Amino acid sequence: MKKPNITPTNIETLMNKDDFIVSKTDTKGIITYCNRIFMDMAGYEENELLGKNHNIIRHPDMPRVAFKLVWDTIQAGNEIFAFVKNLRKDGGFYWVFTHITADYDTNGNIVGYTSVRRAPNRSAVDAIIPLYAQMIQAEQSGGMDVGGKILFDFLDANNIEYEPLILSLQGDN
Amino acid sequence: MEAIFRKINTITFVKKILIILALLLPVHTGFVFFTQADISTTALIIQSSISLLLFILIIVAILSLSRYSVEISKISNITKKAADGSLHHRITNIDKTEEIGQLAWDINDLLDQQETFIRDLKASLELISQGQMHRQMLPKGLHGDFVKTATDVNKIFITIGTAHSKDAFIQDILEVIYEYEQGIYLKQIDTTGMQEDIIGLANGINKLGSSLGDLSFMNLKNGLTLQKGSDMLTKNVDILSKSASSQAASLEETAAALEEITSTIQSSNQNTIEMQEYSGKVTASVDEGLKLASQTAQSMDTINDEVNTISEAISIIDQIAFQTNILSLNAAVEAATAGEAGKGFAVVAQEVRNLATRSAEAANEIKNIVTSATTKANEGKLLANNMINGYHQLNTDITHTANLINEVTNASKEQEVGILQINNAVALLDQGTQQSAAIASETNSVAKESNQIASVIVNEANSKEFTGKDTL
Repeated sequence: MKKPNITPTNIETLMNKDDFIVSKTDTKGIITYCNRIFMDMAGYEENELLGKNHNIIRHPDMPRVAFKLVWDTIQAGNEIFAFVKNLRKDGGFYWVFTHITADYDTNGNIVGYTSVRRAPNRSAVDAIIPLYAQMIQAEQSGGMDVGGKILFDFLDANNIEYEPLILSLQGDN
Repeated sequence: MEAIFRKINTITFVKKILIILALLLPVHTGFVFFTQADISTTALIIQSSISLLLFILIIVAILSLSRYSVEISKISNITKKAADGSLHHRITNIDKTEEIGQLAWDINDLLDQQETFIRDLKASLELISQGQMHRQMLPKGLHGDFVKTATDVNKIFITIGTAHSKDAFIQDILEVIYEYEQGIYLKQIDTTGMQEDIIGLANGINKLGSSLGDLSFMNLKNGLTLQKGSDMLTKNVDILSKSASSQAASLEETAAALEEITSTIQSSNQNTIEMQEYSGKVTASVDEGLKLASQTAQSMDTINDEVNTISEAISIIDQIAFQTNILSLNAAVEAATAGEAGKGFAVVAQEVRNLATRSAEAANEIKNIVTSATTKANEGKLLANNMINGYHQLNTDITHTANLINEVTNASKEQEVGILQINNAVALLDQGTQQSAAIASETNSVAKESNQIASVIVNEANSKEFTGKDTL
């Protein structure tokens, strides 16, 4: 399914601190549910989203390796946190602090994934923006692995693992 | 009545009534149509239109109720699953502008809140139970009691985290202590973020570790120095021991040589004494010789005197023989004159003359012998005088020799004293050498012990790990 061709703009929509966006996909990333906040933030109606791939809201400023990391993690049944820049239907964007977990059936099989997106800590977003920019630049010249190396080198240099870093960046605000 | 009402599914009941109404309506219309033939056509058309409209309305109502019923059963299905504990299902494709849609979305929101809360709680509990303290609940976006409970849970997590962190610090401390037990003094406890009540303990253990490390460093350093020193000592003692042995051997040879020299000197001394004795005897013999030579010279003088006397006697005999010859000649002349009577006398005179000749010859021979004897006696005297001179010279020489022998004897005695002194010195040296050898042997044992001790110290220190070990 081809993504609709949207030209990104610099207009940012800020999330309400008391809300969270909830969306669910099947195991292939096809949207099976999105709450009303999702629709408001992304600018789509429910029927425009259900049955579509979740990458409908993927922003070109996001490094591809970030999504690979996300998929590798959640497919292993683990939760993941990430700062994500999402694309609105109108070309605008909104930053979220996403938390993705797996949905299980009664037999313990993964049947889909749930993403809960909260308002991100602004200073965390400010810190992440240049890192993502570097990763994208690296990906453009050397591919996804080189982009990933930027992230892992950054983690090594700060002697911290991914999850504690992301959670400490978000803080408890 | 109430019980009956409760048992009846309201929507189904209404739907059934509507279906009855819808079925009754055409019957009623037909009935009106066939029974009231007098009714005007216009009225009939109006009546029919109303009936048709009612029928359509009833059908629409039935359909609407059916859809409503479907959506309610959808909602019912999802809420039932939620009630069974499966929270991840949601109601989708419901028009949110309708009342039922509003209800569905409210249920979705409720499920979002519940599911997010439960998943967050589950995930953070799992990590906390694994000892990972970085993960807390995320109250943001939750509402009301959910946010309050999440906040309270986080407070508990912080309390658990503090206890766990203390526990982790104590684990760190125990690990470091365990390493110290294994002799590895490299680690220090990181006190960053450590609680006040255990930081003193950690600092104390860190100081202990440093001290142990320093101690091992010093041990290794000293051990290595001791090892080096004892190695050198062993080598030097070996050299000392060898030189003491060679000294002892040399001294033994020296002592043997000295013994030979001593016996030679003693034998020389004995010989000089004998020489002295002999020189005394020679002197006596020379004196005796001198005396005898003097006597010989005197005897020669006496012989000369006696020979002179004999010469005088012989001169007399010679004169007698001459006169006898003269006499015999006179007798012969007398006999010849006497003739025949004198013939016998002539013979006697002849015989006397022969005797006189023979006497003269004998006297001449004696004279020659005496002359020879005088010559011999004079020669003898000369020899005796030479002998006397020789003896005198001999005496002088012997005295000189005796003096020399005395000097040699004295020198030999001095030599003997000197040799005795040398012997004493060699004996002392030998004693010293033996002591040296004994000391070298003892020192060697000490050096070996030192080396063993040093090895023990070095091995012990090497079995530890501490800062600066590689620099030694």
